[in-house]
Amino acid sequence: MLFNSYIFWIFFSAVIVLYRIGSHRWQNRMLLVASYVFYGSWDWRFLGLIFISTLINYLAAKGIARWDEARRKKAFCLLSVCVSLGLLGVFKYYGFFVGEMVTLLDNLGLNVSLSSLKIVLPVGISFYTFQTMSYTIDVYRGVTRPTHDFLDFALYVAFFPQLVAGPIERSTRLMPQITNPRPRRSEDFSQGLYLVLLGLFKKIIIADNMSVIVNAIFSEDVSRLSGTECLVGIYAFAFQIYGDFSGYSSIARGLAKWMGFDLMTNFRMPYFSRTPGEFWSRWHISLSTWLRDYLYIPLGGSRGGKIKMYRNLMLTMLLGGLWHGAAWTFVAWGFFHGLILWLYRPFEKKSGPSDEKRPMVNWRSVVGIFVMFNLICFSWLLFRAESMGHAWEMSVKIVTDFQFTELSTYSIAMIAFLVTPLLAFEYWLDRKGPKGLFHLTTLRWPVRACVYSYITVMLLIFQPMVTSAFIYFQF
Amino acid sequence: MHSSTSSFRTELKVIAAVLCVLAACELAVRIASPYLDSDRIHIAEFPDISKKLAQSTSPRVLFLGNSLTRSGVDMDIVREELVRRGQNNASIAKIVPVGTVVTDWHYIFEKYFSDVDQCPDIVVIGFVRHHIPDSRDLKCRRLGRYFCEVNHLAEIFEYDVAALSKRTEVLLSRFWATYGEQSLVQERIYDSFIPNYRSATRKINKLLLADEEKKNEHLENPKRTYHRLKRIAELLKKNNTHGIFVAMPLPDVWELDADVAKTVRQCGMTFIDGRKIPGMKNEDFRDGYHLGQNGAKIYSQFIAGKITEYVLSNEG
Repeated sequence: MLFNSYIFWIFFSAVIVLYRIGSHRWQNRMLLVASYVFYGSWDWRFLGLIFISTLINYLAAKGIARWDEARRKKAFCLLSVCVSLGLLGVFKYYGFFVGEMVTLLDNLGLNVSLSSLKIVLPVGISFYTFQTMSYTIDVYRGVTRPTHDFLDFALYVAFFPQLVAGPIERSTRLMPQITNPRPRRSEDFSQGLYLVLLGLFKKIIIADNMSVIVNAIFSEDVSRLSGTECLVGIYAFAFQIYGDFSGYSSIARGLAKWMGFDLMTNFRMPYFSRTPGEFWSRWHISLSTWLRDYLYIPLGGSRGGKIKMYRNLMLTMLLGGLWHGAAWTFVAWGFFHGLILWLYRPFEKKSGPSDEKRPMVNWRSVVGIFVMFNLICFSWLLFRAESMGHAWEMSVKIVTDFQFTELSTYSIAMIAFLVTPLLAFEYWLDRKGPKGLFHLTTLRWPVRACVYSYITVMLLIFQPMVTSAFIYFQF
Repeated sequence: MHSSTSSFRTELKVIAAVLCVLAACELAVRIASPYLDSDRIHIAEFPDISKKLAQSTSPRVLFLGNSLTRSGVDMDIVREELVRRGQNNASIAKIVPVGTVVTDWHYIFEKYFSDVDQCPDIVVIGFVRHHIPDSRDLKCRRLGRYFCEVNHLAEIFEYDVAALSKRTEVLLSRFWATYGEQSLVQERIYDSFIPNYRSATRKINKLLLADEEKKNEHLENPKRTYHRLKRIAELLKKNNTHGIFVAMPLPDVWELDADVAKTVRQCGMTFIDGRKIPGMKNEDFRDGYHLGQNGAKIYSQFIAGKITEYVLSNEG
């Protein structure tokens, strides 16, 4: 069930009505059933998998809390990590590694035939395995206590708004909201409405429209494209993936708000970043903070000298790339981000904290944002290209054949028409600082009415003829 | 509780304002839509066409199809040829909305011509390969907006549209003009403001189609079925209307499934293979698909001949 499908909204209407009529305990149980129905609608065969992952992590956390011996605690933690990573490894990476192994052995003159199972990737596995791992690791670290209510924990794992594409929640944030009654707050309806409408706009108007241009350009032989067409295809993909992913997260947060839950902010105007460090504090925040807390810092973080720090940065980004998918292009994408983090590191300290309210626009900021945006776009080329060779060909084409064509002028105009209003709105939000994300909901109602009318009319008129699935569902 | 209620009430004002804007859009679209393009002007004439044909002399002949029939059938030449062959009393009309297929024609006939006083004597349905198989995707919004009535919805949902999303499209389009006209309004705005809109979208469509074909080339082509063709033939029969189904010409002779003729004949209708008409050349197609002036002349004379043959054989 996609969030922008009629069937989902029929489903959610039923859920919200049932949610409102019962007690806190009833709400949790009903949400758990609804979450399993939601997940089962993707592929019922994987309900067993999420249940097993839930059970093992629940028992592992209880085991960690039960025993005082450090050795036993570590064993339970390792069990949880191994099971979670093992599931990920089998379902996501088995085919890739087998394929690469066969290629390597072939190149060494050893012709082997290894069976390669056609394994279907369960939707959301990368998200919920990370979420369960963070729970058991936090219990091991003593950051949180394990829950004794298995069904509440099952809801923590399977909570449907964020199950299939995040945000990857932490137990310290989400578990208390599950275990404690959720009072109705005055701002929940208005903030939820804002998040859902904004999310639908980003997904349907931005992402789905851009996907038409992106798929056409990336499917064509590069020799038949001009440099501007390649460049515009990359820019269109930058907005497609942003609209898709941040749109999903926004809808997820809005749905959760309507049920009294606060999910974490996953995106904060990332294309206005001036440095890679700032970008990763604004893009897929739940993943970047997860990698920071469970990988980068345990590796040593920035302690132990510059070489170790750069090593830790690169390892974290490489694994972050691999998390996205089993292909060398994702590894290259992670490597590129590690590289630009390295390069910017000396300058990052001098630019100061990125969380402050933005100063007035100056040319240095504009240039910084422009350069950073284009570097990020180059990384998206690695992300989207069919292969490293494809990415290389497109890069070469951009610098050697810069002529405007009908397709490129059309695409530029479409990007300008559809994306500019969103960028203008996000720029305005960005000027309010990190606490200003809900600023629109604090303004007078006619202002909101105008904005929501614009969004609704755009959704009605400019949805593309063909909708696409959310990109991050494949992770 | 009071602050929660007032905040919710404030948001209700916002929602009410948005609904007012949508209502204004709806009004504007309902007023403008009959004039938005030549196809909608033609659709708006269907009730008059039906009425005029019902009041005309027999044999009453309706040409039902899409742009292929629109450009291929020259009404003056058909009339002239029918008179030349002794059919002085024949009355002819054309219902040819662009981009329609057999399911649309089914419901157009049912909506505008199946009243017992309005049934034509003969319906000539011109088609090419992709207009008639069951696998063909429908333009649900246009079907809902223009070509069906509320009492047809159950039949549409039972036979033609299974997916919930598509059914919702048909249902919403039936009652909500802005929703139903979405593609045309979008096209008009893009055409006005986006440079190279038409040529670029044609290129994009070609690229995406090629990509899809490449991805599906390993798949076996499923056997084509023609239940929708059978249903329209049965509908005509039920209304005592004779159907003449014509496989129309294209520059290259296209592959015709033997099941098509079989389906039509099993329902007691006439099937004509018009893919290769004597005297027709590739130059007679103005854009590689639609017939030009000379091609329309040849085709119209051909089809008038076939109509006369049927009328005479029936009189006999």
